[in-house]
Amino acid sequence: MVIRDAGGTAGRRAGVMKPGGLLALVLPLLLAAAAQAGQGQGQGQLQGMTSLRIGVIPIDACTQIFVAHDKGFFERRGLQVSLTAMQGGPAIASAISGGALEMGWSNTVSVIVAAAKGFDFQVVAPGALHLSTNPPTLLLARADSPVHGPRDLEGQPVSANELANITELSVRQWAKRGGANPEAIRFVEIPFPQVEAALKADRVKAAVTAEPFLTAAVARGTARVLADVFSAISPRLLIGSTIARKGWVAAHRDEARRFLEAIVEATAYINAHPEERAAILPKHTRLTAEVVLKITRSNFEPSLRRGDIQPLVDAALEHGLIRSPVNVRDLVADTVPLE
Amino acid sequence: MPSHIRGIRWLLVLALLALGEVASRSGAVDPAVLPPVTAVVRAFAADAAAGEVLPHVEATLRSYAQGFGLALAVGIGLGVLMGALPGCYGAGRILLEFLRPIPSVAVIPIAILLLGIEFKMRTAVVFYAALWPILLNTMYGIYDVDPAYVDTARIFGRRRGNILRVVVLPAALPYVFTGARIASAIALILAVTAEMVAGSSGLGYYVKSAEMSLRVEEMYGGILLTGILGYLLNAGFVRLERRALRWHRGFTGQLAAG
Repeated sequence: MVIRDAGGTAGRRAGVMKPGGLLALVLPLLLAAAAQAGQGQGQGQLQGMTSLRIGVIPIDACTQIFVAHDKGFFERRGLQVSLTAMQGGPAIASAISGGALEMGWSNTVSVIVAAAKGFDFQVVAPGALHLSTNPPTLLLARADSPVHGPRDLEGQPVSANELANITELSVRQWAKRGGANPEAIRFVEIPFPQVEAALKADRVKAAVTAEPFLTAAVARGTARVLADVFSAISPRLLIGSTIARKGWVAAHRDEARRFLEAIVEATAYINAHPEERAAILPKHTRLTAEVVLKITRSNFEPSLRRGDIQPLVDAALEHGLIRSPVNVRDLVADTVPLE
Repeated sequence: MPSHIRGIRWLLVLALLALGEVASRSGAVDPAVLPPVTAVVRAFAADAAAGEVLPHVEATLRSYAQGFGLALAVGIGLGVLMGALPGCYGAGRILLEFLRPIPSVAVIPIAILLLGIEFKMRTAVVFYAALWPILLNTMYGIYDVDPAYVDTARIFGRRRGNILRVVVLPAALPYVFTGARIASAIALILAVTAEMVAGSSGLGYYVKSAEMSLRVEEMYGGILLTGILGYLLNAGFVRLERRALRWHRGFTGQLAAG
């Protein structure tokens, strides 16, 4: 009796309530459709221009691309560049592989490791350099730490922002050159923004960090500079640059050349007007002009040398990041002259 | 709910915010790590006033709505089929149990390769994450409908399609709503996560880029806003559910009283 009554109620009332329920289901779909309708516009291509989609990371290492974009160096060469700011190198590489981007920013060691694994990414223009005269990445220790050299770090936790990459590689090389056993160091991964807190809490004895966190941690008195570890690999290194797929470069040699020209012009402009980064960087990153002027700026040179990359290949080989050597000429597009 | 409990809920929220403020101001927690709440609100409000926040909220809501809407349509459709037809359940079971435990975050790299980095990719990831709770709950909801309801309807001469529409679906609706509510929260989480990994817009991107630029206050502001967004979406759902399932609550209430 109860059940039949209840069932009847449910059925009858359901008939009344269905429009409401249906609306609840259909409303998000309508929203989705409306959003979809708004998409796909604004991609209009200018006459005679080649469109290039470039993935950048909103950091000052990408200044050349920002300047070439803002100063019209791309446009002047018939390149209609759209910049997509992304937070991670791996995501950019995936997007280039999948064809969602033609080019993107990448660190050099990732290109070397990818090449050893059979991927065909190539450097298409000079990028951000490590120079021992102006290093924007350093190994830090806590201000009151008793650690003074590589031997003090044996058996201790040391952080790199990404394992199996340039930061870990450089600490290993520095330890080896300093007579310590790099295998004895316990590497942990801590992103640059969290380095200061990790040092303060003594979770790591030393940590690699880059700007703007480097200057902030030292200025606040949390940390002191332990070593310029990148220089243990070489006093001059290509930290990162714009890459594309080899197949893309082969099919778009003209565009690749024009892109290179624009980056070279941007490099000359940056080096001639160093103060302008305070105006340009806040437009493409969330760095304030005040912070930009305080931090160690990235180094840019208009030409690329074989020696900017070779030491990274050697170090990667020496520390087991890659198994067999990689030819530097294969890592750089043939549109880019190598000195 | 009695009003004094309602009051206590908000008091708890305020107490937590006050604790954060005091901990930071007194130096118990490093203000560089956890800035005072008032500083967070001030910096975030300034950023919002400069128009830096709203486009990101829109972007997040867009991938949320697209992915979640798609998951509702597909999840309920497949759930009804699998719950009502044993053949469908048998056919789809292995695939379902294989795909379901794969963490949605793990499909992001695949999604980037296949769908790029814009809304298509983010929508797909949100869809994938939100699909399973909706599908499973709908399926079990249909499956669990008291056979007595169906038999009763049959005795009254209703046809199969009619029984499904008038008896089975409404009886399964509470399950569907539960699934959708769980999925809604997951959808928001995945929308923000996808933006953190590969986005160029959205709250996830906002939080990440604030973090990369030493803007700790804005970073916390973005995190707080994500939480508020989640709260509001859930509150909207509860309201909708209460309305759509009034008959259900009344019914269970009667049972309890009787």
